[in-house]
Amino acid sequence: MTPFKITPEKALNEALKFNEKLAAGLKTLGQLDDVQYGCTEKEAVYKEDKLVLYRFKSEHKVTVKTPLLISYALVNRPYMVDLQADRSIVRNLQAMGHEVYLIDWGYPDRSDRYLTLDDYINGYLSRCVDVVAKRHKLPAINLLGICQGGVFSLCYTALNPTKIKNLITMVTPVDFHTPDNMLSHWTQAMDIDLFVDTLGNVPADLMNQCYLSLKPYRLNAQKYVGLVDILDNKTELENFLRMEKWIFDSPDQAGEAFRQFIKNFYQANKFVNGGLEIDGRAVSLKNINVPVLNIFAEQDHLVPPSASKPLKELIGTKDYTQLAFTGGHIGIYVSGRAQREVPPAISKWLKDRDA
Amino acid sequence: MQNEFLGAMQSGAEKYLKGLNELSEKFMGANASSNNGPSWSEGMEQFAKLYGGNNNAHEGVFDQVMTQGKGFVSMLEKMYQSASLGNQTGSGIDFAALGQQMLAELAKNNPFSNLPGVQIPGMNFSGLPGMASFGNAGGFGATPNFAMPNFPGFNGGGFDPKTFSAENFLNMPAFGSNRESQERKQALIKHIASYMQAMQAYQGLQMKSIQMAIERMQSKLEERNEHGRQLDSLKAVYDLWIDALEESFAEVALTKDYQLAYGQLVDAQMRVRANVQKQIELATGEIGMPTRSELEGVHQKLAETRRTLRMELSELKAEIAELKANRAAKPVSVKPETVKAAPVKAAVVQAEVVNTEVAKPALAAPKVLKASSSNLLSAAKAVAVKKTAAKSTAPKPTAPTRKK
Repeated sequence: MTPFKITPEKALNEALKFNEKLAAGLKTLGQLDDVQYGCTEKEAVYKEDKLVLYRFKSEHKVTVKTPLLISYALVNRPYMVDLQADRSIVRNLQAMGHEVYLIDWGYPDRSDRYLTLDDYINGYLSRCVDVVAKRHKLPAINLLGICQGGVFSLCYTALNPTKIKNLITMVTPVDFHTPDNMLSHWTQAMDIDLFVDTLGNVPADLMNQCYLSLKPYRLNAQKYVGLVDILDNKTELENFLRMEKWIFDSPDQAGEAFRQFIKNFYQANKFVNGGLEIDGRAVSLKNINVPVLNIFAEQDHLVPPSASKPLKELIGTKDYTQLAFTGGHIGIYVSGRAQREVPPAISKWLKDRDA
Repeated sequence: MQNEFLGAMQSGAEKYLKGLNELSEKFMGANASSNNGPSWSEGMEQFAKLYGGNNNAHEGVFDQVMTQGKGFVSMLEKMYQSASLGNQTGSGIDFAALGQQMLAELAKNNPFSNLPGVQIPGMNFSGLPGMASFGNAGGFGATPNFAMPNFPGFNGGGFDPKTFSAENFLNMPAFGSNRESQERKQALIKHIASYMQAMQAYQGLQMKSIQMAIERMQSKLEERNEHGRQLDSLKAVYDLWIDALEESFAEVALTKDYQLAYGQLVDAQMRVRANVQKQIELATGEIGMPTRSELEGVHQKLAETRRTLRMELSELKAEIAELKANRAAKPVSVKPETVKAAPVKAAVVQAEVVNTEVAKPALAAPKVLKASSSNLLSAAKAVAVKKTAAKSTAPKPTAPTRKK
């Protein structure tokens, strides 16, 4: 008995079949235009430097009193939450009666190198919260923070507990020192000061290569071999290309904010160990007493569930809900399962707390 | 037996090329394959030639599909050969031998080394100005010659062990008018040497993980030695191999050794880059060019000024709010006519008008609120006027709550 049930004839046919698919697919690829992304009409309601705060226009009646502001990570573009018509958390939430706003942080350039976490959290994010609250004449709004944007949201809510009514964190790391956190593991022995002092802003390509290196063979090789199977399907190919566009359409990272983020969170793990200060103000998650919904992805290789789950023990609120999604860090926004499971869960949770 | 095997190989190659020709005629109306008996993956080059560059929008994906596709087909070819040999001997695919071949392939062309520039996850600097390649040092190139050391045995692309002696040159005391320059260049060479050592250590761990993957693959294959669990396609073998590679990589990448090697490599790279930048700055500064440090100095001052301005504006707003609250709480004891005549009160009225003008766009803008430096400055001036006037009519406000 051998582990193979492959005859030379079968192997030959498989190779030829692969080439046939490749040839057909490359022809399709050559005929496709650049992909479009972002499906929901939106208007800019606030601009500052490179930041734009958008309100998504809805075809549906708004039934939920408190608007939802989405704070995305700095490391990728925020249109992931509204990628295409059938993969849009925004559109699904609108259909359930929510008013949705989104912060687009923009693409920092060298003039932004000295932006700090304080500038992002107590500056940009804070002013966006104020603008939304003012537009709706409310003292507090709902905040949804995604990944690094979730970390910002936690800090902001801890510092401004009266301005947030309900807080949702999605694939947000809280404990950065769990044993399966490869990204964190790699940063521990790096001299971040030397790194930022040398590079200034951290180049997006470098960040992307780092993410791809977490699963180097799957993401650099197998993914593209597997793509051949769908190369002849125009719709599937467009979906793939849209994702590819999103993955590599990344902003550089403002140097000082990056330095502070890596030092405070990845290296010193200050949410857990304490001692976190933003612009001299102590940040303690125990100050978060508003309702919190914590959503994480079970197969997330960037933010493992073990990094998100400890939030429950660290925050002050008793109204804590946890949602484990079966999928990965990206699938949680764009997979079919995500569309069926995530927006309804968020909507119900918010509606239950919209009094 | 050997002749039969070679005959089978020849026959397989012919069939494959015939198939490729048919495909090329079907999809391109041209003869895709070479007549010189190329390897399977080389046969695919024709697709690249005919399709490549047709659509720049997806050039990156095209290149990736072709690169990885060729790697995959190359692996299929090896498995085919192994399967053919196994068919002759009745042993099936010899993955141990195949694994060693793949190891050699991966050593030359693994997913890390496919990335241009420095061969380290997350440390690809090829796209960065001044860091394209540094000759044999890898990943630093296109560095202006004037930034490079000019010592015997060092040519910017590495060290020539026949003529280069670290002891002689790197530790030689510097003196005279070139003292500073020599020290900088000695430092750069030391940094490059450290970088090369760090790279070697890092790549050693990568190779270790690949070696572990071969053993892991053997183990995975043993689990398939039973009916119902056999691998029935080359793609299934490939996927299993990727699993083995990823699992082994993860095992190594989560070790303390890897953490240290990664950190040391990144730090070493940064030291080289920082030193090269320094040399470039000095050289360009000497001919009157603005340097990155100067520009960053301006950016830093600007950021600090904006931060200070915002903080003061915030404090002033807090004071105004408190003043308004105090005024609302106090009964009005002076007739309005009297207020109009009083110069101090007139200043207050004037300040409020300015303030309103500044505040209006922020409050009443129909769609977009725009906060700019000029707005902030106007607002600050307006509030400052108001603050001056207010100080003469109101009690001193309490200190602002926000710490800076």
